[in-house]
Amino acid sequence: MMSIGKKLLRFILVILAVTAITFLMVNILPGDVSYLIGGESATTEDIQDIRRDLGLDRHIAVRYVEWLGRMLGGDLGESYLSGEPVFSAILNRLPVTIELLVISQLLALLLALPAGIFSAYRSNGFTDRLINTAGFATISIPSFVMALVAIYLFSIQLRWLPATGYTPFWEDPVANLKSFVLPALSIALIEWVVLMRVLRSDMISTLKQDYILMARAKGLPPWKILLRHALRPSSLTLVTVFGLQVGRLLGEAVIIETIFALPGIGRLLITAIYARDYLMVQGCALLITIGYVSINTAVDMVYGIIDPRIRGARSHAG
Amino acid sequence: MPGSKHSGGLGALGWCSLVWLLLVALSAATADLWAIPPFDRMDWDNLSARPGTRSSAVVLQTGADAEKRSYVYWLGTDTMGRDVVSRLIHGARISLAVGLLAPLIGFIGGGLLGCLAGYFRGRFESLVVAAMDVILAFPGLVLLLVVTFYLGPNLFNLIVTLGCLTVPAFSRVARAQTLVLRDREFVQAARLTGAGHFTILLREIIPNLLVHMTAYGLLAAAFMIMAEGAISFLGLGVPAPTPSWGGMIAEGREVLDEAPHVSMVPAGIMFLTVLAFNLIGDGLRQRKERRASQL
Amino acid sequence: MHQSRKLRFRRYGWLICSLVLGVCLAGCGQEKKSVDAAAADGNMKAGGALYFGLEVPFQGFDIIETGALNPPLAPLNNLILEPLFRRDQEGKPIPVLGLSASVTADGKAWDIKLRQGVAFHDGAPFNADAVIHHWSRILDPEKFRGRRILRPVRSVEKVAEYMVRFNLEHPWPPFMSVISNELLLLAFIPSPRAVEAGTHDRQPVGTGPFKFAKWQSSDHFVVFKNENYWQAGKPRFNKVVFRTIPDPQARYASLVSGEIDVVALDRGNLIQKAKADPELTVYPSQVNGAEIILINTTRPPLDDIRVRRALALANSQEHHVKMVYGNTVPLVQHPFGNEWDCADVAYPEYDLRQARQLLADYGKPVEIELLHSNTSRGRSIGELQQQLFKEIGVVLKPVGLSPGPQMMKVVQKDYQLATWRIPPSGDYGPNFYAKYHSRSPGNFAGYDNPEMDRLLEMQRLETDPEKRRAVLCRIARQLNRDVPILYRGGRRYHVITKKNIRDMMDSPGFTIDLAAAWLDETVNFNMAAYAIEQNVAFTEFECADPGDVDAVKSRILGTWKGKDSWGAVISMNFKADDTVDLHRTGGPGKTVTYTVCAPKVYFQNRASIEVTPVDGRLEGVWTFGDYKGEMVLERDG
Repeated sequence: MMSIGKKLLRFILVILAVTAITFLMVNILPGDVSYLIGGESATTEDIQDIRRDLGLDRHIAVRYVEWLGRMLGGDLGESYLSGEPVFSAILNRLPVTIELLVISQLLALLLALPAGIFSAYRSNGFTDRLINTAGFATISIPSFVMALVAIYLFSIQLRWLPATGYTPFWEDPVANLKSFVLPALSIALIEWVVLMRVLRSDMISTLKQDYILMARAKGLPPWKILLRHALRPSSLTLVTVFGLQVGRLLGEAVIIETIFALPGIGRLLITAIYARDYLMVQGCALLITIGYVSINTAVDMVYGIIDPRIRGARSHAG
Repeated sequence: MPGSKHSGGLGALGWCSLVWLLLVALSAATADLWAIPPFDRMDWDNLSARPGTRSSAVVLQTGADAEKRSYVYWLGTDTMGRDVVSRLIHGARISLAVGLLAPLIGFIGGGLLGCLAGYFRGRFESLVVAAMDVILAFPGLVLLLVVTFYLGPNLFNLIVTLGCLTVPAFSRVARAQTLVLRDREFVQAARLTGAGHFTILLREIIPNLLVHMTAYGLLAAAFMIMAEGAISFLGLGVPAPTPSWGGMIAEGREVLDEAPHVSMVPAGIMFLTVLAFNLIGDGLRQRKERRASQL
Repeated sequence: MHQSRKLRFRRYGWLICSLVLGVCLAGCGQEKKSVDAAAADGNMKAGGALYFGLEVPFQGFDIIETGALNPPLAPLNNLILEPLFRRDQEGKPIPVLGLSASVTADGKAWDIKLRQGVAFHDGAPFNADAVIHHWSRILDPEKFRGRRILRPVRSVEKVAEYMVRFNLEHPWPPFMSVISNELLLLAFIPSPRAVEAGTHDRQPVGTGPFKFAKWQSSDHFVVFKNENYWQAGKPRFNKVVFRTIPDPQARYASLVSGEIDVVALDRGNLIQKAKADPELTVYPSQVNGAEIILINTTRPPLDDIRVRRALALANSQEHHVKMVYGNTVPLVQHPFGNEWDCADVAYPEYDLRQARQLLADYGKPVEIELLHSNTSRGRSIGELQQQLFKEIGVVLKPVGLSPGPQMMKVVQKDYQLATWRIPPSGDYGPNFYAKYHSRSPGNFAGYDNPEMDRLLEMQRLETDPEKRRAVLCRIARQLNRDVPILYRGGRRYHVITKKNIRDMMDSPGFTIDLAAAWLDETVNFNMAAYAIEQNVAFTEFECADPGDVDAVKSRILGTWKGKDSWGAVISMNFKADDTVDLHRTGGPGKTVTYTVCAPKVYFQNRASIEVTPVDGRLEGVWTFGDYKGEMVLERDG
């Protein structure tokens, strides 16, 4: 199994590869931005001028190295539309996405914990199968459909919650939290299944352990056994998966933020894509990916440290 | 999987899923033969009509071009007056194409890579693992968006990109299984009898991989259908006039309060199809696991 | 403004109870909706904040740095910056920063007299130097890419402290309309100090009614009132906040829920909904221009006039207007706006039979491609067009591209059909010359007709405005004959506001005048539009000890009547079923009644009432957005 040092090295290499690929992808068709800036009345000379201004006429390797250098200094360029620095635009929107991810994961946990514990406790019973079926059903619903259903139900029919809109936390905490309920719910209603399953399977094996049987023999009430004794050791994989989910959800956030008009990074990326704001697309894709990789690496490292037993087993499974 | 505890088969739900999938596939294959309006035919007078609306002047794809018949829009029409049933059936082609072909790319490409990496180990394995890590480093949707956007949204690009995205996952499954298998007795035995690598791979290892990979492949298919839906929903999927389920859901969004059926009907169909894939895939996986634990 | 004072009761020391009732703003109109138009003269109140929902975020304000000639938020240009002149409906200039303009006898120089006593937000004085500074920068071909639109302008020079002179290469009648075109950023004068400091792009400084305050990436943009604005009495709002909500559904929802006060929309179904909503006012613009399809007349089979005419005859503008724009744009036969009365422009009316005949004449099958933008609207256009042409046997393949590549292909003439638009303009002369003259580089249709060239040149040199118009009509007629374009509909912007926003759209031309806008709070209380029979349920009880709720309830049951701090008479009838009937009559300047009607609270509403029983009275405060009123009610009967 790899040492921490090796993992760090791998991390850096992956990041480099990611930056190169992102840069390459985004710069395959450089001509488009010039036409957008030029507008409908542009002539060919105008387009040439714009390309020169944006530095698009130089070799791609040169541009990449230059860009890399600037990026390390925190300069990701400026949005050609608004002139705003990409880096600060992303930083401004980061809190929204983070808040969305945190709240949705907490909600998912809230749903998964009781479901997982209970179905492990009464495994193969009626409730277990019910929960299992519900789980199957909900993961078969794509997040954008879940979002639409949630909007239809809670916003249009019941009028409990607003369909869209966002208030910053410092302006009005209650309104802020309310504007996250539907988006977070749309994500949580799907994510809970994975967490539940992991918890369930771990807990089933934990419940077979001797010390649990001892506790039962002692006559401890079941809820005490479940919560105090069984939960902690069963939650290792849960915590790991929880961490990994957050990384994956960055992708989901794109759709959810777009549907609910939340000003987060995902929506920034989509808007930049539609507007062909290539520097913004580059910056967003890059930062999202770096975040994702970092979270995964961190979780991986923590996981490896905490449980040497898993480390050994994993080396077989790769 | 619910309902298939002790039976060796798929259980009631599993069979229902299979039937549903066959139904969808059959409809998609025979789409042009049904007595329904063409999927791009706009009925100017029946925009966003409710399910069950009857119209007396509809041209069917089977009938002559100018022949107008009486027709009931069983599932209503969309915002541009097009028959939802027709669009669902034609759109099934896209969803099934993506859902089956994209994982196929992953299956073959990723399976091969993973299998070879797990078998030969060493430098080759490290290289493959590193490359897979890089692909996995990108949050899937983000990569998909950026690539299809810059390469252009058409069915081919979509399938290829989605397929490439599944390669790492398949390779992981293949590699993990191969690592286990290569140490098994029957492989050792084959080596002892002097069989070459190629023969071992072909005869012993790959057949054992297939069931695992197929189970995973079905789950991947479910995921692909949802991914295609998401991409179409964002407007970056298959271009018009080809209908796709995700695109239909997106179109219905602006009339969600007046005519929810425009979004909800395709959403329901997509849900059932994805569920079917999930149930069968999971059932296969459980069967394999139960078999394995019985060994 | 009225200060708020929440009255809490601690007399007995054990009971603090308040009832918070939700007041529905927008959702409770299930029964009859009577339209109540309140004339609000004499009730104008300055102050408050306006919330504006935008589709696209602001771009930079320095025209040279952004390079954008007409940014999408053109109607909001007059917020922070001001031009020399504006134009009214007839196109006559209205003095803003320029007082008057006179042209020399040979038509080659314009003298513009400037307004005195105006300063930029950063203190720099507005004078000839400031104007020269801006315009020299614009006219410098090295700096400004859009210079071509001002080609005939040679230079600008200072004549006196408050007078400048523009020198032209040749007499150019459209000069005034170009420099007073509020849709062009170049018409607006920035502070020379800010431009020199390089900060003007993201921290714009001008002479306008509002000062730049804050710009939070592409999320919100805030401006504050310019206390030293040269027009007395304006602006009326203290602050305007722009929020970017790209999705039209979301934008409309925010408007309806009350978070936002003003939006611009172009989705037909939403506009129709807004028209039916008594809480909203819809302002349709009367702009000219048109949505078109551009035809590349150099590519076969489109080089054959029969094919083009057939396409025109099969192109049903009605269907476009209905399906794509939801009947919210006008039908047009020429792009000059429907106030222009051009006699017979020979518009090809929908005629499938004739179209088929022309194609039969042509003899060969026609298969063509249409480039459209990769948005849902673009796709609808593509699909619709495909259907329309199918009727005459033409196979059309819609190809969706993002705006950049689409533009690229059109500019390079690498297309057959493409969705395009004729932007609104004061004077179409220069625009059409650039687009339809055979030698013009901007002629993306490849259109080559010596007759058209002759007409365009004639129009260019004509100085009499009546004659110019007449020639333009003839040009439109020629266009309808030669079919280098197909019309899909007219152009119309829609601005939708809450009913109580006044005077925003009263200025000439379709510009949003935020300086003149104000919030009419009398209309806020004209909730007579909603049902009378319903009443409100208590939604929240806040008590120190939950056991006291019943005690409080029993104490307030019954009818109370009193006045609030605005002089309105309020009566509240608390019923045993936990609901309350609420009436408020009178009010500043007008007698109004309303009854609160929604049984549920949801956070979009901005109104609430808090009452506390104190001795034998009911004291309370109502809050509605930025307004508050205190009230004291006594038992009634």
